[in-house]
Amino acid sequence: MKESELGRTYNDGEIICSEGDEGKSMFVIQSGKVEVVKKRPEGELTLRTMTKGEIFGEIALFDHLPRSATVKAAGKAVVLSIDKKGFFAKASKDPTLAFNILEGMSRRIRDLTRKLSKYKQDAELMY
Amino acid sequence: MKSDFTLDDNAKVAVIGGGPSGSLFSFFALNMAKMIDKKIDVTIFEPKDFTRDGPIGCNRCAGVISEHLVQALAIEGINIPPEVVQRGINSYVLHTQRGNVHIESPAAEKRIATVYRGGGPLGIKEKDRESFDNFLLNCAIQEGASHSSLRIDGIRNNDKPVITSGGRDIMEADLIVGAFGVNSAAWKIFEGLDIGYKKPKTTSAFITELELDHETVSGNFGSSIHIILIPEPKNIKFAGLIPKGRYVSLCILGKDIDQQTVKGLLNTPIVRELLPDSVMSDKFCKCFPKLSLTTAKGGFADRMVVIGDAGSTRLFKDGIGASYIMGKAAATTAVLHGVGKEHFSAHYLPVYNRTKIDNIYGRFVFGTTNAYKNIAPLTESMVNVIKKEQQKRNEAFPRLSSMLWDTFTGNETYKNIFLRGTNIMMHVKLVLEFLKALARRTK
Repeated sequence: MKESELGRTYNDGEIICSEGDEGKSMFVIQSGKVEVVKKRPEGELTLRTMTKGEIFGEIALFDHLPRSATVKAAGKAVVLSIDKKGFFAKASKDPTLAFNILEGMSRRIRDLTRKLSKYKQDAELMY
Repeated sequence: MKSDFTLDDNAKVAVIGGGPSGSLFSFFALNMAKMIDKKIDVTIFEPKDFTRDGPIGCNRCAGVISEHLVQALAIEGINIPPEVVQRGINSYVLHTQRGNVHIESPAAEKRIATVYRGGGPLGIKEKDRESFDNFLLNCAIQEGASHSSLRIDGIRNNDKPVITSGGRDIMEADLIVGAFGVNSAAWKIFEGLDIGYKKPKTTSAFITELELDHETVSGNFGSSIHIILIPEPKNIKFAGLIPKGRYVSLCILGKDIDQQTVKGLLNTPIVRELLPDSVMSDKFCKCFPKLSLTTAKGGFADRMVVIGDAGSTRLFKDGIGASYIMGKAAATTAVLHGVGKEHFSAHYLPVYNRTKIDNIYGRFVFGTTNAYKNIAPLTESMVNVIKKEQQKRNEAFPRLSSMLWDTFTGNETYKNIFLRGTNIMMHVKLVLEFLKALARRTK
C-alpha cells in the first residue's frame, strides 16, 4: 500500500464483505474496482461492478439484516470502511450526511427498475 | 420569520476566505441549492495562492485530517486523493517520561491523513503532492463556485451589504460569509461593522517542518503520529511529530514558545531518538500560528455569518473538522431556511454553541492529560494500563486507549471522551497501577 493512500488495500479476488455476515460497517472505494457477487449452486453471479467514490455495504446498516451479497476486489482496490456506530452518531447530529447515500441508493433503485423492466419485456417476448 | 431574508434564484453569496471553511460552505450551499432546484451565485474571495510553497501559500496548521473528517467527507462524496495525502496514519505513539505506548486505530486501517495546507515547506524540492486547501477550493469550483483573488477590505451597508476592495464596490450580496481564520486580518472588517462581532481569544502554537528523507521518515515514524507528553520544557502542553513525505512537521502547543523552548524539546532524549542529530529547527520553514481559545461573539447578523476559526472551532484539535461542521451548518441554514439573523439564531447557533460547550469538556480533558504528563507515578500508571489494553486487544476498543486515541486524533467530542472517563473499572486499574508505581519509587 502506498504511504499516501487512505483505507485498506485488497488484492484481486480478496473478499471485502461476505453475503450473510452481519453489517457492521459500510465502505467507500478510494481507488480500483470491486465486484458485487451472489452465490448460486451453479457458481457466482456478478451483479455489478463498482468504482472509485461509490459506497457499498450500506444496506445492511439500515435494514439490520445480514449482508445480501459478497463484495470482492476486482484487481487491486483501496477501500475505506466506515463503522456503523460512528456513522449513526454523525448522522444523528447532521441528518443531511445521509443525502449522498440516499442519492446513490436512488440511482441503484432506478437502475434495478430499468433492468427489471427489460427482463420482464424479454420474458414476455420469449413466452 | 422575515420572508425577504431568503436566498432566491440568482442570489449572490460572497465568501470571504477560501480555506476549508469557505470552500466547504460553498460546496454544500451549491449542493443543497441544486437539490431544491435553486440556482445561487457563490463567489469565493481568496487572494492566497495555495499552490505556492512556504507561509505565503499556507494557512498555517499542523495539517492532520482527522478520522472523523476523512470518513465524513468520503460519505459526502469528497474522497481525499493520494495526490493530496502526504501520509496515511493508522496509529499514534505516546512518548512519556515513563516509556512509550503505541495506540493503533480501532479498525487497523489508515483513516487519518497528513497534508500540507499550502504548497509545502518553503523551498520544497520534490513537489509531488497537491495542497489540501487547493483541493477543497477546486471541489467548490467544480460544484459551481467562482474564485476571485481580490482581497476584500471592507463591507458597506446598503439595502443589502456591499463588499469592497481597494475602495471599489465589488458586489452587493444577499449573504456575506466570513470564512477567515484567526491568523487573517479579515476579522477587523467584521468588528468594525457594529453587528456585535468580537473575535475569539487566541494563544500561539509553533510549527516547523524538519527535512529528513523518505527512508528516515518511514523508518523512524512509519504510519504513526508521535505525541510527546513530557514534563520538560515546562511551558509545553504537548508536542506532535507528524510524518509527511520526506518531512516531519513538529507542532508544539504551550505558552510563550520560543526558539529556546524548541531547542530544549529537540534536545530531550525522546526526541533525539526519533530525529537524526543533523536536524536543526532554525533552518526550516516555521511559523507561530494563533489558535482560538474561545468562540467569537456575535457570529451572525442579517445577511452575514462568520464560520471557521474566527467563529466557533474546537479547542486545540481538529480545526478543519470544525470548519466542515460549521461550514455545512451555515450552508444548510442559508439555503434551506434563510439568511436573516433569526434563521441563523434558530439553525446555526445551536451547532455553534455545541462546539463552545464541548470545549469546556475539552479544557478538562487536556487539564487531566497535563496532570498525567507532569506527575511521574500518574504517567507510569497511564502507560501501564494502555500497554495491557493494547496487548489484550479484541473487537471492543479498550477504554483508556480509545480515550487517548480520540483526544489526540480529534475523532470524538470532548464531552463523549469525558463521559467515557467516568468508568469506574478504568479508574480502579489506574489507581492500582498508580499504587504499584508509588511502591516501586519507595523501594
